[in-house]
Amino acid sequence: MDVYGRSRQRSSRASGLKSQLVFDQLNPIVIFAYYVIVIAFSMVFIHPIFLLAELLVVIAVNFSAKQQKKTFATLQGALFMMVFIVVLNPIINNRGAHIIWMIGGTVITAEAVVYGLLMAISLAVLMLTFVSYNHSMTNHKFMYLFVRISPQLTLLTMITMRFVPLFIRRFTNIKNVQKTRGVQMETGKLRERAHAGMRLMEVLLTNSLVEALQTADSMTARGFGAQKRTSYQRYRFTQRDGWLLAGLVGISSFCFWQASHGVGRLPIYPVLGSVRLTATGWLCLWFVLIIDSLPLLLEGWEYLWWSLRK
Amino acid sequence: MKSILKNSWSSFGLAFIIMAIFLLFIVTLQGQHFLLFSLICLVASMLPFYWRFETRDIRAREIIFIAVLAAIAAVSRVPFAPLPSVQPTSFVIIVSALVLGPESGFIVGSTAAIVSNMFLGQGPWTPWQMFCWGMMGVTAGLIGRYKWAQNKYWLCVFGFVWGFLFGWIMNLWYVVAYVNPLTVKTFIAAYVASFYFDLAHALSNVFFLFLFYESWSRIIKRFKIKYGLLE
Repeated sequence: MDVYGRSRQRSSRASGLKSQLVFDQLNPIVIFAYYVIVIAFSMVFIHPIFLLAELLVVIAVNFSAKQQKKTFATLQGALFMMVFIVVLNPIINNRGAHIIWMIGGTVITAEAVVYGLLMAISLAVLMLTFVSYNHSMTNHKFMYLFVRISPQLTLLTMITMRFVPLFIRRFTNIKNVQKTRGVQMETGKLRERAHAGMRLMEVLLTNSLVEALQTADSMTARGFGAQKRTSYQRYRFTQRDGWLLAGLVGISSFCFWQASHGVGRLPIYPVLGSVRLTATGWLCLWFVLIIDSLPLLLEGWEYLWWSLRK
Repeated sequence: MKSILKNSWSSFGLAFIIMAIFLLFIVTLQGQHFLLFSLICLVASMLPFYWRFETRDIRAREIIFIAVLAAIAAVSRVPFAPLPSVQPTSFVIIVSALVLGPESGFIVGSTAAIVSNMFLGQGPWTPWQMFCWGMMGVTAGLIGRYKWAQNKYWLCVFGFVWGFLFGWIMNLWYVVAYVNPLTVKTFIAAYVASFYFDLAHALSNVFFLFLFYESWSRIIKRFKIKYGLLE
C-alpha cells in the first residue's frame, strides 16, 4: 500500500533500478523458471523434512534480499488461512487408523491432523515464495516475458500501469478541490462517505478520459500502428543464464520423475507411515534444497570469488 | 453487428468447451492433481479472449480507452481503503462491460486485476482474480445486449450474485489445494468462513450499481459514441 502514498517518489520496484543481488541480475526467463519450480516443489513433496527444510531456505532467501519485515507481515496475513486448513482438515476427514478424539459424530484422527499441519506449512512456503517473487520479479521483467508472446496486451498493461500513479495524483488534486465544495469522504456515515468517494471517482473518470484520448490522438499522429513496432530489450540471455536454466530444468525434472514414483511423500492414509527417507529420498531432498537456495548459492559463489581474487 | 455477436459467442463457447473438458478430467481423476487441472482450466478459458484481443486490429484511441477504464477500476481500490470491505472495482468493470460488450469487458476486468496486484503485490490469487473479474466483464457484456439489463433492479441482482460468486471462486485456490477430501461439506465450510466478506462485496456492488449506474454508463457511452470507439 505504501506505493500509493508517495506517488511522487518512484519506488525501486517500479523504476526498475538494478538490484545488488546476483540472482536479480539473471535473465527474467531463468528467474521465472526458478519460481515455478520452487512453487511446484512445495506442492509435490508433502513430507515434514522436505517442507521444513524448504521453509527455512525460503526464509533465508527472503532475509538475504532484506525482506524481513515483509516476511513476518506475510506470515501474519496467512495465519487465518493456515488455521483454517489445520482446523478444517481433521473435521472434514475421518479417515485414518489412529483416533485421538471423538466429539459427537466426528472422529479426529492423527492422520488428518498431520495432513493439515503439513498443508499449512506448504501454504506458508508458497506465500513466502511470493514475497521473494515480488522482490525479484519486477514489473519490467514480467513484461519482458510476455512482450514476445503478446505485444498488444503487454502494451495495454504497460499503459494501465503507468496510469495508476498518475490517476492517484490526479485524484488527490480533485479531492482537495472538491473539499471546498463540501464533497469529502473523511467524515460522516459509511453511506455518505462511499457516495462522496464515488462522485470524486466520477470526476476522475471524465477528466482522465478527455486527457487520455488526446494522448491517443498524439500517438496516432506520431505514427502508432503505421507499421510493425520495434522494441528495446533490456535483458540479455547470457551463457550463465543458459547453464542455470539447463541445470534447473534437468535437476527438477529428475525430482518430479522421482516424485511421481512416490519418493518424498509421507504415507498418510490409511495409516501414518514413517518419516524416514530412502536413499533416493535423501538425494531428492538435496537436489530440492540446491535448487531452492539458488539465490544464496550464487551470492556465496560471488562472495568467494571476490574475496579470493583480492 | 451480427458478425460481432457471432464471433464473441463463438469465443465464449470455445472457452466453455475447454473448461468443460478439464472439469471432466478433474472428476474422472477424483481429486488427484486437482490444483494443476483447475489452473489449466482457468488459463484455457481465458486464452480465447486474449487471442481475440491480440489479433484484433486496434487503434491507439481504443487501447487507451480500455487502459483508462482498467486503471480507474484498479485505482478505485485506493480511496476506498479506509472503508472496510467497500470497493467499487467490480462496479467499474460491470458498467464498462455493459457499455462495451463482453470482449472489452473481459480485457478491462483482467487487466484491472493484474495491474492492481502489481502495486499491492502478486500472489497465488492473481490468476484467480484475473479470471473472476474477467468473467464478470464477460457476463455483464453478454446481458448488456438485452433490454431488461437496462433495468436498475435486475442489475443490482446481477451485482449481488457476482459479489458472492467472486468470493466463492476466490476461495477455491486454497481450498482445492490444501484441504482433502473435497466434499460438499468442505466447500460449505469455506463459504461460511468467508461469508461476511462476500456479503460486504455483494452489498457494495448493489449500492454502487443502484446509485451510480446511470451516470457512469452515460459518461462511458458518450465517449464511446463521440470518438467512435470499439464498434
